[in-house]
Amino acid sequence: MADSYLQRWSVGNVAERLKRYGWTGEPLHVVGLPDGTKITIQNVLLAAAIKVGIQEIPTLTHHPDEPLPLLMAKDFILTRPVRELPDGSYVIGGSDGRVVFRRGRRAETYGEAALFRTTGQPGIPDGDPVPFPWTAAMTGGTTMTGGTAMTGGTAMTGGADPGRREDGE
Amino acid sequence: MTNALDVEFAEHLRRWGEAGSASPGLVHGLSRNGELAEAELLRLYLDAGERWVTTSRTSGIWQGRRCWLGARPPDEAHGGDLWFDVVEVTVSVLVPRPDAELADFSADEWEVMTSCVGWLAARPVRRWQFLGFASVAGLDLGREIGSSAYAMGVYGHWADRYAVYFGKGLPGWDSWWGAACAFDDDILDAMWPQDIPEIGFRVQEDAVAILGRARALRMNQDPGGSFPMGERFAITDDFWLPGMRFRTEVSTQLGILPPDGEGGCGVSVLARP
Repeated sequence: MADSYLQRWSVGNVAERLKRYGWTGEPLHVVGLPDGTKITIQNVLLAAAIKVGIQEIPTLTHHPDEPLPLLMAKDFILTRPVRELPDGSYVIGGSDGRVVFRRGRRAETYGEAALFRTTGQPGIPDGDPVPFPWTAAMTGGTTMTGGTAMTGGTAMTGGADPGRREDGE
Repeated sequence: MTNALDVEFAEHLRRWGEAGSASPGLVHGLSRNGELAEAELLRLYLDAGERWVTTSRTSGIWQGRRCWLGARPPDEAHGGDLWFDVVEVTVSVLVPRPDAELADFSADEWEVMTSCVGWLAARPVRRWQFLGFASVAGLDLGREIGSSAYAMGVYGHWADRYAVYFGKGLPGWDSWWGAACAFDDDILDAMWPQDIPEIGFRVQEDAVAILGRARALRMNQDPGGSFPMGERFAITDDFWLPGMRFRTEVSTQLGILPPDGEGGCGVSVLARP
């Protein structure tokens, strides 16, 4: 993930565009986790929408197991490994535990896309927990079924953690 | 009267999009412009279609290697093999994953990951290639794209569009890490002779990574560790750096990417119909 300066500049730039033209593009892609948490894979857009005070934006919610289109998959490359600790929790980088996702891997599902983009954020120290409730059920599509549910909707932007996590619609 | 090489390349792309065949005229254009390896490999393809050949001395540092001629990578290949993409007119090398990393693979990982990282272009995109693509894609460049042989100073989203048009992506750190482990210094020096930054994979929706040779080729990393990213290593799509170059890559995990919508990136001519 880009450094914080670039992130700020980028958000400001997109915010300017949103202020001038409003929300004109496609819905925001979000990933719905089993516990109800929703995570966007388009951090900059969400943060920019919050910055300019857009109250509602259209969203498209993807199941974590839903296959990611190849054209998007090329943009989600894991730069730090994700490890599973003996207690079943997941951490970014570090040296303890078993490597679940190796660096260099391309995301194959929307859930992996959210995970991989998050782990690239430089603000997260090595060895810190994955900052959302990632579960073993979302690795490799082994236990989730009926994997391509998509729902349209709108997201309330107020109060969401900018750029990373969005709880509830 | 002879056309400039970028015009001949654009004609080649249109011909390929319409008829699925390479342009014989491009062979002469490549020869005239000193692109001897590409000229020879394209001529061999036009003579007898897709197949394995052994590269000659025109391929320089890559002389004597197996090279697949075709519009798509071969079904089976080994690390260090070459692929001459007759559409992009580019030689790529198959980069193997480092042994230490392979030894660490779990059974689950073997189901997803491959023993090679991908087909990494042996050199950055040439100026004539980018200008030819821009002509076919209808890109309004609005300024000169470098004065050297390479396409330099293009926006990140232009580089991305170029790569996607050919069903490829921009390289990640993993390709260079694999290359640094697998190939001799002579080869690495030929592939990336100076520490001129290159445009890499997308790190957020509107920003691409900037890869520097010194960091990208750093060896002796822990195969289970992180890539050697700098504090600041990305640039948004609205910026370009004067000397920055780029090259294409096909990840073996993903393969050749499908066209982006009708015609690929909104381009009316398909690169691989």
